[in-house]
Amino acid sequence: MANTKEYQRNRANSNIGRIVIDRDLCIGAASCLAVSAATFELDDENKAVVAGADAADDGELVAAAESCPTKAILLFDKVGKQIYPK
Amino acid sequence: MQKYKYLIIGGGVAGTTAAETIRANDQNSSLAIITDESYPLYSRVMLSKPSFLLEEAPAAGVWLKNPEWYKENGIEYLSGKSVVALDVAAKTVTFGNETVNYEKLLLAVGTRSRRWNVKGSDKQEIYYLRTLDEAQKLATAMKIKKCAVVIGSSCIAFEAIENLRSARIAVCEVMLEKYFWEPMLDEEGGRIVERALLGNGVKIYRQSEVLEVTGGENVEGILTKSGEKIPCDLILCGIGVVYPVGWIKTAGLKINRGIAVNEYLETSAPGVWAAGDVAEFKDIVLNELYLAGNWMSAREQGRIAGLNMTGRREPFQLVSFYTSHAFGVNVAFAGDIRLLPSRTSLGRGSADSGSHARLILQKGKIMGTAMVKLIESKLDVSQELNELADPDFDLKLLLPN
Repeated sequence: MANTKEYQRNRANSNIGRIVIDRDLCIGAASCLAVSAATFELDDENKAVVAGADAADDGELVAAAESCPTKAILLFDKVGKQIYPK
Repeated sequence: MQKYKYLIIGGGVAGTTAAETIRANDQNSSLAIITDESYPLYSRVMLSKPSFLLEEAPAAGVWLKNPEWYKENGIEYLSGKSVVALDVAAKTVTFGNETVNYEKLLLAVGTRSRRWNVKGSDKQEIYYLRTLDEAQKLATAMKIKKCAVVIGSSCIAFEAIENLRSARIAVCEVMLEKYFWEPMLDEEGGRIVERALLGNGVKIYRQSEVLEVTGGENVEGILTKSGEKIPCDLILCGIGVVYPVGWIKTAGLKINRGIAVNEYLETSAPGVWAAGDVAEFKDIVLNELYLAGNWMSAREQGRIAGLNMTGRREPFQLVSFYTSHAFGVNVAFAGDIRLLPSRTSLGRGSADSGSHARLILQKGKIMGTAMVKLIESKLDVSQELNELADPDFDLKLLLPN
């Protein structure tokens, strides 16, 4: 059973509707924070959580997801189709 | 002679991120990556995780770029080629029998596993864990081996030991240090880690130096200088890294331990930058020269180097962070955790509480911290033991609402 946390995204003019963090995959490499500190932070288990789902534009959010060395950040569009990882 | 406007040596996360950044800012100029590995970008940090070593997840999870990505972005990917010479006056790089010309060069050559050099260390069944090839060999061996000796107390050793134990391989941990992860952790933090190792059946030999690897063609055991004989059919060495900078030093670039660069990641040679694990950079947060050696720093340095190679002049500025996790213990390092003579350390928490932090201070300022925490399961099943034993019981019912 996947151990995930999901976050709805309601930013205007965004194609991304949902951000999912797979906590089993997340190792706290923190590269997502380096790319988008407004979106991500680490919790007390050093796992990434979303603090601001609407804070960054789509480009920054995709770059943050792509920076993850374990592909623990999943992005979905407004109709639920997975955008990243492809 | 082939000429590239941008030439990157090293296909890891620093080199690849630099290429990506260059292409985002300069769509038309020639750009090539030379790498001595045979693969597109993969996740080096995944190699010591159970998803890879124990094949708990599809092998495809390790790839971060596919071969098409390089073609689609106009990046010539020269894989399986080892650079042997650099001429900064002629602006050329030589690999094999080929010499190419560059206008701007990035050295992102990474590090290599330090090779173990004791009598018998050339025998079969001695493994390292740095590259995909090394990890694949280890993963294959782990399917049949029964008894491992792990040399060194590092991130690699810590995570690999958990995988070895999950594969039902007996493990003896042999280290020169007084406690695990010395000197990056203090003794309190090291005790939390060691308690987890011991609790999971690992035998620890502290302040122990290997005199000889015994056996015929294959390893059969080790003999320590204090006379202990430890049988094994697999040895994993996690004894640090070396910087592959011989040909870079010959070219006249300034080298400390790694390649010396300023905060703009410029080397001592005009038109040459360095990034990633090999870059010993001027850290403007710490005001020190520093080798970071982690994914977060390498990726960000690649981005900054790529920007600066396309004409910007951005300093690299990052408080880096990385973690390691095994046996329910999470170890996190932030900033510069070296206890240099000019620094003091302060402990916070205790091994008995399962949570300990070590703060590194210099002139009253925090330079870095190492945090060790036992992550306890939040799932209390003490009232459902009978249900747990029933194979028809739906385990989902145990999850909190």
